[in-house]
Amino acid sequence: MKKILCVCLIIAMLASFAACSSTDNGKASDEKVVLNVHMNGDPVAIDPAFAYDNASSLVVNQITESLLTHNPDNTLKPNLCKSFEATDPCTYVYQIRDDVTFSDGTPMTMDDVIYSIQRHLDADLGSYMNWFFANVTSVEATGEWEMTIKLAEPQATWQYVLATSAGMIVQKKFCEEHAGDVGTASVGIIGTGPFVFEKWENGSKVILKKNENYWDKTAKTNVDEIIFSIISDDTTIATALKSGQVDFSWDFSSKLVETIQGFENVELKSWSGMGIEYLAFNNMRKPFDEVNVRKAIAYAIDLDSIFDNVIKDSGIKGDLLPMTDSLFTIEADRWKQYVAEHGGHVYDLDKAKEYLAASSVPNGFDFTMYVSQARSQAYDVALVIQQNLKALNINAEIVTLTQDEVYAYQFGNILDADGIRDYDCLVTTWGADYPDPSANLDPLFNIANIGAGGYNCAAYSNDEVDSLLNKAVTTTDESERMDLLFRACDIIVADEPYYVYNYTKGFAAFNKNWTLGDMNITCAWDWNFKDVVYNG
Amino acid sequence: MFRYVSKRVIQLVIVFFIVSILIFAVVRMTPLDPIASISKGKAMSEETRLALMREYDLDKSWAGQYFSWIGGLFRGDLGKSFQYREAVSDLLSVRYKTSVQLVAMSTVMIVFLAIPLGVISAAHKNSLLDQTLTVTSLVFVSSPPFFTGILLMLLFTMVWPIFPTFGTGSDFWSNMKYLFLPSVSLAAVRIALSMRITRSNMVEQLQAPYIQTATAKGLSRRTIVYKHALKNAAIPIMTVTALDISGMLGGSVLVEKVFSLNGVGSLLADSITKSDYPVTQSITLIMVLVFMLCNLFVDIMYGIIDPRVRLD
Repeated sequence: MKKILCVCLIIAMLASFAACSSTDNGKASDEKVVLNVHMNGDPVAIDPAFAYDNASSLVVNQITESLLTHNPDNTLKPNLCKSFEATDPCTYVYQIRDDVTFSDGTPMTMDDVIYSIQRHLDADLGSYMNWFFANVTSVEATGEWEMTIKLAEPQATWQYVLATSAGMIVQKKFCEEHAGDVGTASVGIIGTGPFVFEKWENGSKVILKKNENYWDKTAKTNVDEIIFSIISDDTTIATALKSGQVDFSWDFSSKLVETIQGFENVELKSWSGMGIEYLAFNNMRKPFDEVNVRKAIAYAIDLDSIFDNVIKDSGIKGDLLPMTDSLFTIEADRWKQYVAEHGGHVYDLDKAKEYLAASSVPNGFDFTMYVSQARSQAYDVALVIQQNLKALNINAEIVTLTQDEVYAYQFGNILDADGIRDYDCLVTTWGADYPDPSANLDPLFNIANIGAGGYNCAAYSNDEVDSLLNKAVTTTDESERMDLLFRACDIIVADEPYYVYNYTKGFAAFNKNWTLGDMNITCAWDWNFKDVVYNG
Repeated sequence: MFRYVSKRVIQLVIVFFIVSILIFAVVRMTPLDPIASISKGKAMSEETRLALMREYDLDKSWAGQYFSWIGGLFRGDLGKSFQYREAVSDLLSVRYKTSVQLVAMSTVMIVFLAIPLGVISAAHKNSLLDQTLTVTSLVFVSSPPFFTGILLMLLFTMVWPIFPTFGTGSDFWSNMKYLFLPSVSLAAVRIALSMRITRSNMVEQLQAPYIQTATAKGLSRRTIVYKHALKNAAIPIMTVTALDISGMLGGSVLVEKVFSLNGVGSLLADSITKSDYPVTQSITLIMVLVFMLCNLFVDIMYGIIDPRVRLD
């Protein structure tokens, strides 16, 4: 009798689990449409001032909106403003919309707009966007619905800044009332976006509800609630997509691409991303200060083998130009022609040996490659390169570091006794902040970015390149600016301070019961669910 | 007994402070600029940099930072996370519930499965049942918790989808469903080990002379096994179970990662990979403290149960 009771109890328990699981993860429990989205980690904060990574942007973009955004071809278009223009090379004027409301139903005012932009300049806030404003001298309301931003000197790339999180509008009253807590799990933030912050359970999930006061009545979404679940394990992500417990994922390891392609219920979209992966040789450290050494290494790397065995379909073979075609928003045909003329990397051991023989280290040398332990594919690439270089008697030791340790080196925060960057070679990545060739050329090659907080991690220094890049920054005539960038690229391609092995591809996996609408998925600043629709 | 306990507590305090210094020093041996970690490498004005250094106590010397941290520990202030820009104590107050419930559910499984199975196995020594349980326990002992977790996840989502694959519920009871598979994964190795220990202790006890006396007196087999033998075998089993609890805190790190649970273990793993010093050092120290307290509890229990230990 006892045994029978025991068995009955166990069956009842499992049945109750089954009953619970069918309601908790349903798309339309209680007629509520729930969108389950995967994230790789917690957002830094629910605040545009810190929305600079995929997880933070994914959440913050649903709650707050920026003054500008991008068209599907990555060109700029107004969003919370009606129009914008540069009245002179140092003055940008924005006509702000007068029909926008925050999620609490109150109207967005010019005070909110000016406050939202100016808060990035507040040293105590420590906004990640602070660097965008280094050239800004004033942010002022110059009309009832007009904002004027003045720059210290001409800056052609300023046009892109307010299409990032730096241009997102938050409610001034809310931020002042919750000073010190804005963006935390306890209060979140108030913006004008299609969804409203509801809850953030650190390490588990973020929940947003539909904004009943959303100002943009053309929005098509029928989603009532979004649950962003934090999953970092590859197997769990794949299982969740396959079982339908997750509907969308942007942020999974490239190693999962092949697995997800095999799921019948999941559609995988891919596009040319805005990132590049590369070896950054420390051009200020011997023997990498010699172009012959850099070229010898470039010719000795078998990129076909790297793609056949490691990267496969998850990327696009890098070539001599340090940028992907996603950045060719101005004079795209001319850039494509340039790429075609210059070709890509060539694997030629004889040439590699010739270049090395002409260098100061003809018999080879030892060096160290730093790679992030968080990027397993980059580690595998480093292993192939390590093998390739043995043919030149170059011994590369691979050292794995945490991602933040790699950042510390990459951003010039660790120097050796001679005051130069303290590494031989980094295997790392760079993502452009905006779709323009300058977004890669200036940070990665200008000597001005060699110091602390700078992104010139090859420690590359060439007076002519610096001069051309500096001139391009202050040139507002786009054709003339592109001319300058092409001339800089001629020198950079010849010098090869970096070996760009991969043009990253972006991937989005989504359940076939959903449609994405007109969302521009190629740019993280634009990941917005206002047109996402459940059709199941 | 008071002297014995006082001696153990003083030892614990000394070890605690030595360990705290070691932890503090070790996490700072990595090549890292904390400001770059806080700002995710973004360029910033010197003014912002100085403001961040003040906010995170980084303008103090290492000694100043240590005393600020250890002093704050007693006030419940463990500093501010680089990664989340929130107080570490706030993060822990959210995360500890999942870990405590996970370990509690695993402990219940260990106690209610390992001990009865070990007793049954010993009582039916060399039978088919005993051999089956022995082989099964060997399989689980050989399978690390994260691997068991992955297998369970695939089984219960692809084949028999009655459990959620990841995450936690909104309250204690809904968490039972979410934490069932992780608890099984975490407990499986320890159930197998505790079962083996229970079995070997029971076998030893069942061969003792007092059992023969009890049998000769005509006591039933059930009374002999459960009332006499198990009582005497229970002491080492309790010790192992108490140590299992502290061991599971460490073991939960990978299980929490696999099942995407927002526990202290996954927070620790993330903090290590993201070089979040304040979180890493605080959780490590708390784990060490829990481990030491469990050991202290076991020591005191030994002292109570076996007075000879106190004389040592």
